[in-house]
Amino acid sequence: MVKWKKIFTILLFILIFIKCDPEYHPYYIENNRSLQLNEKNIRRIINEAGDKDTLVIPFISDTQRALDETLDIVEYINKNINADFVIHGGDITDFGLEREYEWMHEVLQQLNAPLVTVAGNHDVLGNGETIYQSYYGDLNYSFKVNNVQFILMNTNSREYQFNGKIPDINWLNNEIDTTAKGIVLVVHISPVDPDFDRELESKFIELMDYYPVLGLIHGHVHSYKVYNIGTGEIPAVQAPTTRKKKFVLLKISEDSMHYEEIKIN
Amino acid sequence: MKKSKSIKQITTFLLLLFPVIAFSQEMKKWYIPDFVKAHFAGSMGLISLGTGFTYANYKFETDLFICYLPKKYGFEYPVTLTVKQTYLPYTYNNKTLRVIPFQIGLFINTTFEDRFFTRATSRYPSGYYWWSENIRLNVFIGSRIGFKGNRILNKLDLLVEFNTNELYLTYFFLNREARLEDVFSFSMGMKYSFF
Repeated sequence: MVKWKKIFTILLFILIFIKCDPEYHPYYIENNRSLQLNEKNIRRIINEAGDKDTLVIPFISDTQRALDETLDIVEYINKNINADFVIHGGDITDFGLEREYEWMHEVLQQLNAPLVTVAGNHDVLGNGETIYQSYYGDLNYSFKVNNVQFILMNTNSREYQFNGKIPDINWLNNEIDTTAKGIVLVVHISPVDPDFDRELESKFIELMDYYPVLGLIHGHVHSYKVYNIGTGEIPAVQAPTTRKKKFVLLKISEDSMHYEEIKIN
Repeated sequence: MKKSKSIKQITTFLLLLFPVIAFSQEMKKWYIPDFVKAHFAGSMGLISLGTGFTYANYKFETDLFICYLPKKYGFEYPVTLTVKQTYLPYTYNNKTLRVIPFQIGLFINTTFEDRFFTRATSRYPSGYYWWSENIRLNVFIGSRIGFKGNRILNKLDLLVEFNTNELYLTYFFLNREARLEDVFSFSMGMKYSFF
């Protein structure tokens, strides 16, 4: 008992002397924050990489609960890869909590290259969707770099009770830039996953077949896999979780998408 | 959905009943609470009011808190409920002070948000999510001090606490980057004993 008394007293004194913030509730939302990180980073991408023929893009995904491993990957990318920008495939957080967003933001902002994100199913739990928007902006958006259009969208149908509106097919149909020579789709949940709305699967794949889609990249499953989608045999690249200290390195030009899994030590 | 509505009515009722419980200390019946508490923050609300019982030679306390959480922090129903259990192993007394160097315990907080799930299996395939959004299990460590002087001061204790929950602890145990000050939160309160 005396030993426990010592341990608790020491812990108490440590807690008194380090700076702990008060918290009203784990599911609270920090008000009046609008960082619009994706929009700001897209401007950087277009300025810095707008004239490149081949874009070098590390694709990381499912960073939830893996602050340490994700930081290792961030440092690896900064040191070893001349990245034009980095894509996060969703599941930034595990529970959609304010503090998780803050912790992961502290890690991801150390990237030298600009970062763009899609929201994962875990990111929209609780009050997570509002918090995601206050950090990163809209859940559906796109941008074009040198004839390649990147479309990033919310495909977490199960979180919206398969209401027929997620993914937003009409938005996608209008958003596709018909002048783009190549299109890259970035989602969290693949159209062939059971968490994707079955009613919308064929419409989504039809659009992929109709337009010059170079590939679809996604996360959610936590392991690396490459397979084909649609009649046009469009490559789908499934990213591993950063917890495994792995990510996918993409090299994208207007007519091709190369991919390679990278494991860091 | 129906169930959570009736819980909301019960909470509102308790909220209205609270002053009656708090100020009926003249009668010393067993069901009359031993103290009232007011608490700031503590991962259950902005301001919380509580009442409860002391037992086992002043070494244990059990509280019920009704917590107010402004809607602007993301809640449609601005009230949560907390049941709290505290263990107070040592009390030191001298002429001017009453000190409890440390107290530990746990509390369960529940929100009444229809958007949040209480059990994930009500909305998702089994094993999809392991935690509950409405119910949070917290642990805490804290300290208390009371000053002796007059009748009111003798019954008043000030307390500070540091709490964390099971979700934050998953981060703490898996990451060097999640430090103690990240996962713990500071809160403070006061207790007024009736007897």
